[in-house]
Amino acid sequence: MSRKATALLVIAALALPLLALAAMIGEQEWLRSRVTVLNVAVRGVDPRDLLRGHYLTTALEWNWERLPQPEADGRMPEGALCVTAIDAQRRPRVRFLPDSAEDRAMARNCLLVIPGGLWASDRFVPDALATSDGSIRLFVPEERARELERLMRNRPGALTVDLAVRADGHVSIKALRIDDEALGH
Amino acid sequence: MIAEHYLKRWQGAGLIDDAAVERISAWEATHRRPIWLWALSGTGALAIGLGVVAMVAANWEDIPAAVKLSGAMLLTGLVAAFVFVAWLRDRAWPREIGALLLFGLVIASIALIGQVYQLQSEPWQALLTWLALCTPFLALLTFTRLVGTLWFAAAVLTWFSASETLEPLIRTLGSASARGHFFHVLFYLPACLMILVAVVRGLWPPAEKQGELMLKLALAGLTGAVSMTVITIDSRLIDQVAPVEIWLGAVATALAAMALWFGGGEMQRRHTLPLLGVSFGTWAVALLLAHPWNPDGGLEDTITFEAIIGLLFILYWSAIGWLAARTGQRILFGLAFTVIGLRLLVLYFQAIGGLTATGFGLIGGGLLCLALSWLGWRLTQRLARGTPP
Repeated sequence: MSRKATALLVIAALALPLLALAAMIGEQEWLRSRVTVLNVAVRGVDPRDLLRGHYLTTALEWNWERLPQPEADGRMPEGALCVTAIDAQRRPRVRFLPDSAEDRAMARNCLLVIPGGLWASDRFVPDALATSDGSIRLFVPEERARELERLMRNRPGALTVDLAVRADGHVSIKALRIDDEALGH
Repeated sequence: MIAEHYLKRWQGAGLIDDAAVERISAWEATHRRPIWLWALSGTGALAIGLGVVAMVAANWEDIPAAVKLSGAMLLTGLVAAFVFVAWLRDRAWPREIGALLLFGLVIASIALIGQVYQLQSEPWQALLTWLALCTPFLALLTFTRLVGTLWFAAAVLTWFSASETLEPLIRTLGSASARGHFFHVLFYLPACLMILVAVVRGLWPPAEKQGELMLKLALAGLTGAVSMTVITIDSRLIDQVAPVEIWLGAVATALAAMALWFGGGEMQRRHTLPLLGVSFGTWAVALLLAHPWNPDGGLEDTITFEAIIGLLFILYWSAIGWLAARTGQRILFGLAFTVIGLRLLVLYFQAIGGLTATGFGLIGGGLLCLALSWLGWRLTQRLARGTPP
């Protein structure tokens, strides 16, 4: 192989990680630009992630019109979350939409429909945020991790997240808020 | 310094004359490699990479996300440019260290993006992305054993971080007949795959030494995987094995064997193919023996099972010792002998009922160790004189 061809190969190999990282950032920014933002309270405890730093393991506290009921065999039904109203503070009122023909027809009355799963009768996790155990990880500054954990325990509802929801129901976490004030950046 | 020490010894023994000493000394002086400087700079690059990751993990809220991301991209770009210039000017040391630094910065940037955008992906997905993005430039531009070892460690870490995802996949393949843990597969498969990677890597002349080291690490991993499988079966940690698990091991072994056959040199084939074959044989036999051994059987049954598994372990390490003796590898031979001795000691204690049974058990065990050490020393000395035991 000629020196010129080798140089092009080397440039391509060195540029690959840079282009990929830029693409990852660009993708996230693009996703965030076409969204409806919902503000949802969280609850949980605080373990650690060595790679991405301190995180809180949380669950989302939805404002249910009525709690979903398990099926006859005790399993939680498959379905999606229907956002029926959003208040001035961007807090959503929600209803569970099981996967039945009748309920799919009801989806037309929803402001947003978010695909996901029920891990308990009050614990709905959007598909895009789901981890292997149904919890959600919120990365927080190291020096504030303990404070936020105490806050979640002592003042439920004080810690909330801004969820960026696309028209297709894809959800990402946009910001963390303490008493409606955005944390950090 | 080491060369001077040996030159003096050989000169004193009359093996070489003054002229030869001068020629060798002159050659060593012109080909001297600053090993310690390499080690220091490699440590420095590693420390910088880890430091950046730690800073990302601290998640400084005082710095806006846009600034953090721009800074990370700028730094990564500058280091990539530095590596390219070093390659262009054929400067080996800056190129290797720069590439190592870039390796660290890419994972730090992936972690930073995950943190800023609160991405919920599993750690193995981030690690796999990291490897996929970095392997091309590492393969093209780095040839040292240090970088090869670090890449090897990163690949193994990525594999094991995905074990929670891989185990259900293996369980699905095996259907209802697969129960218990799957670490016998999770350890064996990557060892065979890394043999394949090491052989392919060694095919490129500049990376031959790197490939050789990676092959040694992969073979060490293979030996460890097989030994661990036998030990865990002895401990009843592996319950029942589905045929598909042995088939997976067979396919992985076949791939590694083909790589060694077609890609390895004559010496490599002679040394490693028998080891690969013996390893697979032992692993497969151990898994076949893992079928519940007469669960209603009494103590006699348990002792028989433990004796058979113990014997299998000893036979495996005897084969390793024999291969080491044939290829003149004294250290490996000594290790094999030690491992066999320890396993015999364990068998001895299992037979007499354990440490608490009697003081004579300890004395007997100690005498056994001394006897084996004496025998092992005699055999190793014979090996050193060129007479295989």
